[in-house]
Amino acid sequence: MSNLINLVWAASFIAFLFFGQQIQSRLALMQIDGAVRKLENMKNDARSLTLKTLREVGKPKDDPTPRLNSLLEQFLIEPVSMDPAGIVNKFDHLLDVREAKFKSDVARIAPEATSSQVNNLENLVEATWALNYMFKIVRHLYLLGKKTFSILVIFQLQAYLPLIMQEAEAYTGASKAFAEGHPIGDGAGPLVASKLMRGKESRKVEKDMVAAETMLEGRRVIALKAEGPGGNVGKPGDAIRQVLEENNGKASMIIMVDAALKLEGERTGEVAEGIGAAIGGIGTERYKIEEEATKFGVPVYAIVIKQSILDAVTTMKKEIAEAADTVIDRIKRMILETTKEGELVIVAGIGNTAGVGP
Amino acid sequence: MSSKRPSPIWAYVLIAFSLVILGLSMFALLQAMNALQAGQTTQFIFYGLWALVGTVLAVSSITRMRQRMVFLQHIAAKVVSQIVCAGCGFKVIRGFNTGDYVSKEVGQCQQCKGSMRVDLIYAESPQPKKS
Repeated sequence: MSNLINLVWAASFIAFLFFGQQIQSRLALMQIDGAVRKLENMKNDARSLTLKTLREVGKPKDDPTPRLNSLLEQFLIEPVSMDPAGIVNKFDHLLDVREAKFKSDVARIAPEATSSQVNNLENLVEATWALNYMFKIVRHLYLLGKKTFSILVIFQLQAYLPLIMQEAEAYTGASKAFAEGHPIGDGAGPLVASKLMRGKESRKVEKDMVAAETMLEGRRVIALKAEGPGGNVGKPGDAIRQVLEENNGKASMIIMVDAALKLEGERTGEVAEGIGAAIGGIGTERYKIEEEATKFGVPVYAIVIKQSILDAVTTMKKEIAEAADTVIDRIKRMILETTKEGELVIVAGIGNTAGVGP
Repeated sequence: MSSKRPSPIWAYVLIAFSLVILGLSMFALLQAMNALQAGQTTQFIFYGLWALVGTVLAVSSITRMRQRMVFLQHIAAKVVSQIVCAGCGFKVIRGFNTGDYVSKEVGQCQQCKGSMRVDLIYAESPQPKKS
C-alpha cells in the first residue's frame, strides 16, 4: 500500500511539473465559464425587464423586441486622435448625435411614453446595452482563451473578473432603479440643486438643463441641474457657459456638486471638498467648464458625496440622500468665507437626475 | 410596475447544504486524527483529503453566498418617499409610489393645510437585528 501511495505522489509531482500551467489554465477557464453564464443571465434578465417596461409604459403597437435588439447592438466610432487638436468638439458632436439617435429610437419604440418616461427608458436601455456589451466582451475573451489556450488572455481575464462582475451587478441594480423611476446615488448633485431651487421659478437653459435663482446668506445663487424627473445628465458645460455669458462672466465662484467613487474603507455618504470641476464622463463637459472658468477667471470648487459604483447606479441610499443637507451647509460656509454680499455664485448639481424634479 | 423582492429561500437552502458539507468535513477530520493516532496511513490520507476538500468547498460556497445576499439586500431594499410640508415641516414617510419624484407636490398638510412635497426618496438599509 505504501508503494502505491509513493507512486501516486511521484505521479502527481510529475503531472504538476509538466502540466501545472495547463491545470491552472483549465481551472481559470472553468471559473470564467461560470462568470460568462452569470453575465448571460444578468443580460437576459435586464433585457426582459426592459421589454416589460417598454410594453407597460410605451404601449407599442408592434412587438418591440427586434428594435430593442437592434438598439442593443448600437456602437460609437470614436474620432481619430492622431491629430488631437479639436478632438473635444468632435467627441461632443458625436455624443450629441448618439444621444439624440438613442432617444428618438426609444421614443419610437414607446410611442405613449411622456418625455420624462422616455428619458428613464433610455437610461434603462443604456444599462441593458452595457450588460450586453460586457457579456459579449467577456465571452469573446473566454472563447479566445479556450481556442488559443493563451495564458495571457486567460489569466488577465480571470484577474479582472471580480471587478467586471461588480460592475455588472451594479448595472443590474441600475436597470431596476430606472424601470421604477427611483433616484440613483449619482443623483446626489441634482438633489442638492433641487433643494436649493425649491419654491423658486426655474427656466430651461442649454442643454437639457434647468436653472433657478435664489438668495443664500445674502448672495445671489444660480442653481443648475439636469432637467428632471426623467433620467438625464444634461450638458452642464453648456449651461455654465450660458449663465456666465448672461452675467458677463461676473461670478465669484462656481461650486460643483457631484457623486464621487469612494475608496474601500470610506463611508458611503461622506462629504469632501476640493478644487476643480467635479464632473465625470468622457471629459468634454469638464473641458468646457475649465475653458469658461479660465476665460472669466472664476474659481471652481468641488463638493463630492462619496459612494461605491453599486451605490452610484442603484436606488439612492438613505446616507446619500441625507448628505444633501450637509452639502448645503458646506455651500453656505464656503460662500460666506469666500464671497461678499450681493455677489453671484453658481451651484451646479452634476449627475443623473432620475427621480429628482426641478 | 411592482417591486418584487427576490426570494432568499434558495440562498438559505444552499447555505444549509454547505453547512452539512462542513459538518461532514469536520467528521472526516476527526476520523483522520484517529487514523493518524492508530497509524493507519491510508485511512488518514483518505479522510484528510475528504476533510480538506470539503472544508474548502463549503467555506468558499458560504462566502460567495454571503456576498450574493449582501448584493440582493442592496438592490431589494425597501424604497420610501419622505414627504415634508413646506409650511410647518410636518413629515410623513411612506412607501414609494410609481410616479413619485423629489419636489413633486402630493397634497395638503394635515396640520396646516400647506402643500406637501416629496423631499427625499431613498432605499432603506435593512436594520441590524437586536438580540
